[in-house]
Amino acid sequence: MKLSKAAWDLLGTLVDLADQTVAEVIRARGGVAANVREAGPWANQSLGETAMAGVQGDKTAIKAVKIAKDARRLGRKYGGDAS
Amino acid sequence: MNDNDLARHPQNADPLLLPPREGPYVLRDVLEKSVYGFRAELILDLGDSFLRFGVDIDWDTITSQFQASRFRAKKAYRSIRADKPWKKYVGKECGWSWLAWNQQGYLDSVLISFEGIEPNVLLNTIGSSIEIFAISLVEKASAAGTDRNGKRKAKANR
Repeated sequence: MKLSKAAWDLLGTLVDLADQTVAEVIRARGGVAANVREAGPWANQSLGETAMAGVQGDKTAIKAVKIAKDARRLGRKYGGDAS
Repeated sequence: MNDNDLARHPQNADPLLLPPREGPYVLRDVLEKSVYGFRAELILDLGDSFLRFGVDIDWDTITSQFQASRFRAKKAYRSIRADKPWKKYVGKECGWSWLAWNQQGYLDSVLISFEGIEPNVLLNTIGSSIEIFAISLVEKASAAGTDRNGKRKAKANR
């Protein structure tokens, strides 16, 4: 899908994954079911569509993009990846 | 571990954003740089030096950089010193600072105090933008509360 420049900026390097669903991106980046659930209805939308909604002011879409960006947990508790 | 991982790990970040010196750091101006509607940079202008906050758009993490030189504003920067919450802090001394990591382990928040050690402003990066939140103290705990065992305290001087 064609993304605006703002959507490119919103996604950063995730722009390469714009055609995948948010859920797929979250899981591919090490996220768990709880992260997918947090993304709400955007989980089933493509990351590109979600970013386009985000730049138009949809805060739930912005939240979903952030969850995708920070999907891989860096913490140490609860089996988090400390690498 | 790559450079980005290093930047995000608590043990490699220093919450002391302003190097210690004898004289105070006084907030002179606050400027923002917007890119496609996102606040990509925030400058705390301290006169003879400045703090530059930015966003790593790949991770929505916050970056900070102290510069011991005057900030030379270019066209892309707009002063927001007259806006909330900054207008009441311009002319005040920058005080303590804190860094915060979100539950996923990414450094995405900075807290700053002015003329004191209580945090007044929260900077949080989300959606490739630096969002600004004002922090306010709610109220002191009441004297007629409960003790540490949860029992109601007796009123003094009855």
